[in-house]
Amino acid sequence: MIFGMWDSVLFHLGPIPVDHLVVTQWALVLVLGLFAFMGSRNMQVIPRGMQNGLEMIVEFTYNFFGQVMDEEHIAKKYAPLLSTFFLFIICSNYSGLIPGAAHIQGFQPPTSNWNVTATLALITALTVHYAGFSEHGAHYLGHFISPNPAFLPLNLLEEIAHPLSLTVRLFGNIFGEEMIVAYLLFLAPFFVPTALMGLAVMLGAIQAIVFTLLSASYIAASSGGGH
Amino acid sequence: MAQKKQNWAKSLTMAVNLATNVAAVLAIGLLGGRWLDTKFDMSPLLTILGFVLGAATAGKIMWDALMERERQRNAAQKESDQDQQ
Repeated sequence: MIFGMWDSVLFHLGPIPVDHLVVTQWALVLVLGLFAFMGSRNMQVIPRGMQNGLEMIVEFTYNFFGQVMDEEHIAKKYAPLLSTFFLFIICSNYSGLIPGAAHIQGFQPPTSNWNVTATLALITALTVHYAGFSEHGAHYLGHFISPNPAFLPLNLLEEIAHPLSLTVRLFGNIFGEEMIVAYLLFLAPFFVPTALMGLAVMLGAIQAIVFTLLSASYIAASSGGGH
Repeated sequence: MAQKKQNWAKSLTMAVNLATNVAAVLAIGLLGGRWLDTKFDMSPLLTILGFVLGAATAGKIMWDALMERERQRNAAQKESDQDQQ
């Protein structure tokens, strides 16, 4: 019922309602999966074509997250998840910019719905605690009472704030941008929304980078030497 | 070049993290307190307590960010001193 979530059901898979967002996400997963499959099905020692592009992406993300997260082994362990986040979010953000996207049945940018962003943030939150426990074991719990036990409520509130801010930031930006473009298209269909759509291209990339960077920094903080 | 890229990414992370987390903890504290007030009929005690808790957490987040910035600056300074030697 929230934000029209249940109003946009396309069809039912047994008792499960399937809405526009889920169909768009299936399409995105299919496109990304096909891209990965095509690029890696016939791996060569000297890469060519799509394999070249994929290797460039993998190398770039390993280096980038290695620099952001300080410790290389942690970066290598979590780079696949973070890169997947980045690719999924940027494709989701840009899916609203495809001409006529709003008029195609089953097509709606997934990140403009808080259910999707909350799910991504929840995965990040679980990964953060998994990384903390896998690096420090039970000692990881000690950071909740750091620097002393009086800080427990403050640390708990901070832990709750991380997924909440990840959720609201991504959802708010993309939902807001979608609404403004929709209203502008309604008021002045030609030329006027172009500038804002240009801005949306930048915003989509920035939000994907910010979400991924923050996830990387939370994972690095929980698995780093500070605990 | 690598150092510059690292600083760019870390500075962006710190700025966005600080801004949104401070807002989030204040909102959670205040709204959580208000919800508890309606549930236990103790208005406005728990709202005030929630806000104070949120504000204290916001202060802690800002202090942690400041200390992290100091640590990074000292590490960069140390690295540059070593390079000069």
